[in-house]
Amino acid sequence: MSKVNLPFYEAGADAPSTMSLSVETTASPTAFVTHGFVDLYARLCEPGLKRRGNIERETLLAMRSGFAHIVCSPDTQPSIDSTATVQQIKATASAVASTQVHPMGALTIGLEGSKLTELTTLHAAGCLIFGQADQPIADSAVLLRAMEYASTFHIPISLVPIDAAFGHTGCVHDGPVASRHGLPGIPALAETAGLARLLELANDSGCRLHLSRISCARSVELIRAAKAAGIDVTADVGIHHLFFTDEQINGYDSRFHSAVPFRSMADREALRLGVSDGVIDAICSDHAPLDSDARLAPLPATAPGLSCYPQFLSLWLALPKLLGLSVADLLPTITTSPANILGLDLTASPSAKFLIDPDAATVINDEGHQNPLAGINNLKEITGEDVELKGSATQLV
Amino acid sequence: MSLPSPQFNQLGTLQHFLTLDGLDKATLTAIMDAAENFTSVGDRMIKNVPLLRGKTVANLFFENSTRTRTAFELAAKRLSADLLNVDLVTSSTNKGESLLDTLRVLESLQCDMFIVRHGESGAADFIARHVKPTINVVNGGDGQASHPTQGMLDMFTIRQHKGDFEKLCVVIIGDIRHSRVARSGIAALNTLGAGEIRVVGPRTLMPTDVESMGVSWYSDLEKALHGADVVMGLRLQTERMSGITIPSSREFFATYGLTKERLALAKPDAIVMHPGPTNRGVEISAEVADGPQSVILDQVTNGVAIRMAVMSIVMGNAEPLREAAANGVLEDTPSNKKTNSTPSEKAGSPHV
Repeated sequence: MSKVNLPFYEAGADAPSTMSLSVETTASPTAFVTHGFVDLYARLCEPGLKRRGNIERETLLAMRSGFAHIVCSPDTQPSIDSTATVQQIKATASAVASTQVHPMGALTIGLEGSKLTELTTLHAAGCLIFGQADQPIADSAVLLRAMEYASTFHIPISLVPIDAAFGHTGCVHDGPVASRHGLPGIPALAETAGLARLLELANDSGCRLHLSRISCARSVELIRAAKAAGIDVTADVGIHHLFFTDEQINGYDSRFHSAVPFRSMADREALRLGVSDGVIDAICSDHAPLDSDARLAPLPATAPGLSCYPQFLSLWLALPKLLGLSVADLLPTITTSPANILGLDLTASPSAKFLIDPDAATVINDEGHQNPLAGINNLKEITGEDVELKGSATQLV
Repeated sequence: MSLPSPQFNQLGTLQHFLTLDGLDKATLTAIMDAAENFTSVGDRMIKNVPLLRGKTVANLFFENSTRTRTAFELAAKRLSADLLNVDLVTSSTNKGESLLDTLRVLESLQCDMFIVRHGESGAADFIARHVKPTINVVNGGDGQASHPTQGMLDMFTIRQHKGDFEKLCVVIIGDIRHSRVARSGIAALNTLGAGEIRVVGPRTLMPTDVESMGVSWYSDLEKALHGADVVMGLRLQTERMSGITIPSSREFFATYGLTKERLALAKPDAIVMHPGPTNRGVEISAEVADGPQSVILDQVTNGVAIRMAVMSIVMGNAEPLREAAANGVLEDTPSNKKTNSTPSEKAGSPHV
């Protein structure tokens, strides 16, 4: 054991304080201490989809990437629309890991987009936020009522902006790569048309709207304008969307089949800029583990989603350099910002703290889960961009 | 940065015939040259050659087809192969058996070549990545992606009538967005150096960023036809159209139908092509389809020669691998269970 003094980036503090720690091995000079990260969107596949993943495995992977809080998506089987399911998830999670799992409540029963769930009851049971997973509410009247009802009780809603009619016809970004491959596309307009509608309804209802997993440049502009106009809106981006583009599906590579598709290089750059200038408040994992059979079909017939927890920390640690920012500048995207959206107080005890060592060697091990980054240590062979994958997180006891 | 093409085997030769995108000019020319030699087989008293004798070819059609299936069947028979026609449209795949399970069963029947038609884009690519290394896969059309033998027979027909591609102005009319025929044709025309490729139709029938495919988009058919050497019609893919793309076939014919009057705007010696089946009075008038400039029936005839050429080339290329497998030198198992472990494409220009 040796003593080290490390900077501690405490929530709400203007400058890092110094924390004195006893560590088993030497930490690199870039190491720091932070509150455990907060993930606004991940699929834990339980109950009902355990062939893909499960609460134990996913939360342990999340903890190794530095997460202390996870919002799990409501598209389980059954969906998270009853207190029984909420309690089941929380009980399973508390038994296996220190990572706190916050089930996202289904906004409508069975995510079917027609009848509201018991929002206040579910909120009391532990659902901090409500959403529809990847299933948009087509009926604007239902959506408006849902927002009005939620706003009555100051309950935040997290929705992926997608126009229902556009949303289910494609499998990849509608651009030159899709055109050349003859793959049915999801146009950026499917997101921006859906987003503009959500902003109007949120503005009218006074609902606290969080936009989940945006993917294109125009969305960043719409959110920028909405924030400037005083609409109470926040947004996040999946971390893979800050690295991948539609070029990755060249050769029908179904490992990059994502429900929110990877879009053009210009979109990716706009998302990075959105993170830099704070238009995008948070970065989520959009973790979606799959079983080994999920990709054994032609691309349009495969299940969408990428496993993310094994590489989240390494990808996030690469961002400061890519965006020209400091770790301190970017930490809010995975700590205070998502915590504020959920109404969590990270300074309250018992909130886990982690020692993050950005230069520790790491191996992305995710065998059998269709993870395109498994076993690689640089993104160069995938995206052409020199991004070294390294870093470790250790929870402080 | 993309997955290496599965078309080429570890010897660097064309093992599968999946897409024309990425094949070089020499390869396309060699296929047409080989087809040239096969065109006379159909005129002989004995209409076959022994090139594929002792080989088993399976027609795996997951989607309905008459002319492509018949042409492949005839091509296989003229090459003296044993042919297995498997009707998968009404078969086990509809009973919940996965595509891969179906393939494994057919592999176990010791077939040498799969001719595949499937409704999903990228299906042929997927199948090629998952079959044993001794098997050849020939794409008979997958989703909206690719129909490479149709593309080649179109190129072969153009070459027969027009010779050099470099001076040609080719006009493709209609449903580009949903057409695998158009994608394969456009890829081949670009590789063969066609002077100009124009695509014509309303925006609803154009793929996003259609110009990125190396074509110019025209919304006005009459303007597009000026100076055309080759005029290709396409079948309206009503089964692949999701939602509304054209108001009616009557309005489509009024705006984009290929009539005698409109054809007169092209060069006097322009040829008219169509992959069939033609919807007369929708994409093309009967008098143009049956007229002196139509080469539609030549396309059908050439379809057999092109398929004989493709089948004999890829079958021959896999022969060293079959021998190695028979001698126990090559592991005769599926080449890559994981998509990311595909053998790398050999550097340099692949041999046909």
